[in-house]
Amino acid sequence: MPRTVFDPTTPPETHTFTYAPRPATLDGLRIGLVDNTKINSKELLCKLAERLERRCGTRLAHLDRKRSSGHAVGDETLARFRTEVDIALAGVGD
Amino acid sequence: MDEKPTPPPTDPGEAAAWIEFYYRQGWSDGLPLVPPTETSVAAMLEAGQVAGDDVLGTIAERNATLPAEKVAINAVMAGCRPEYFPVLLAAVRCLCRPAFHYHNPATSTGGSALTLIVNGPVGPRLGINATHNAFGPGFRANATIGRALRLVMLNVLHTRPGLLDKATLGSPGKYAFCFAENEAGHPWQPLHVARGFRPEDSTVTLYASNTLMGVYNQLASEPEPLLLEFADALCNLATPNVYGFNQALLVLAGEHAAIVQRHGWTRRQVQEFVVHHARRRVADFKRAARLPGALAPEDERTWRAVMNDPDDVLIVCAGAEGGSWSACLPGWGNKWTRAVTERVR
Repeated sequence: MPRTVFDPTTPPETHTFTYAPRPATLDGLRIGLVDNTKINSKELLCKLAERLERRCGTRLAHLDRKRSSGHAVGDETLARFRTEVDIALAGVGD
Repeated sequence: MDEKPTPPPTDPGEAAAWIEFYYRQGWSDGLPLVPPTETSVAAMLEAGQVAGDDVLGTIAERNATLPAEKVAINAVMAGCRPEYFPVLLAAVRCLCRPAFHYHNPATSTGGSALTLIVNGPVGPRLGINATHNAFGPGFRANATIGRALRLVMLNVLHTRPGLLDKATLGSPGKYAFCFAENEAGHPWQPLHVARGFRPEDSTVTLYASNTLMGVYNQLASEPEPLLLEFADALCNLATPNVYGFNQALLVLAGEHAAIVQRHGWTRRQVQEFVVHHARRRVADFKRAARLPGALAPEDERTWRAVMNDPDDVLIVCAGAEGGSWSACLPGWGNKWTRAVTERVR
């Protein structure tokens, strides 16, 4: 019998990334929402934004709606969020 | 008198040891893997006319590439014969098409079974079953081509349960789901011709099915009552995509195909009839909590369609001549995941 082991897998391609620094306080920050199109995603995120506004004085700066839950956030939205948003909320799952 | 088959001159215990070894590596779909050899992998690549370091495609959302050698290894492990490999290569190219949007159906809690429909001369030539038990066991080409695609998903695209496959229940069709269209006695042109290919082309169509429902009717002698069943299957309360306007696959088997043919219905007529009748009252959906909101009087009179484009109804013929069974396979997801077809080279 041959002794060669045939590996059917490919290693996952990985990228290094770092999280943005966490803000010390939410007071007065600009919020960006990412609606992933799943049922009640937008409703839940907007309610969260409203609560944060009442509690911390945050302001809803942008609401993005993805093409579908499986699509990545678009480059245009990312660019806008980088300059015009302090914290982003995304969701939801099933 | 039947001759006894002559077994190979090797000890089956050695093969069994290799199978156990490959199990331990975590590379299996749960079934035994055929141990590859230099010869068998090379034969696969040669049959596909590809080099081992060729890249067959990429899937951006998965940050993944598909090297030909890895696909060939998985094909051997699945039990494919080399001559099946061009069909698998076409299926892999389908996976990579942006229109299919692999990440969605492959990852979803919905547990889509990726369905391969083979058309053209390659089906009969390779013995890809299109008749009795077309979805079931007993045919090496169906079983191993379908299985090879799933092994590629598991091993190359990391679509492992709980990791990048988040299916709640999954489906037996996720082991293997490949069949050929029964093009003989077809009411119309076969699927690949309807999708713009020549009759002499061999093709693979990849379709993300969400579930498989048997459509039984022994009494219908005209198309309308039969097709009402298909429409009802598409808009039943359990159907996932009340919102999505996704595609649907209708598989007409012998007696049912004959009814449509006998009455001279065209493919377009069938598609339009099904789209028109695949609808329910909003009240039905609300009572079952498939739509949000309180029930309003007008909901009893308001219809909600689950399909909006006749072209979204894919129709193929498969199965035995006898019997009153067909099948309806609602599609996974929404407009973002579309069936795609590739020519077998």
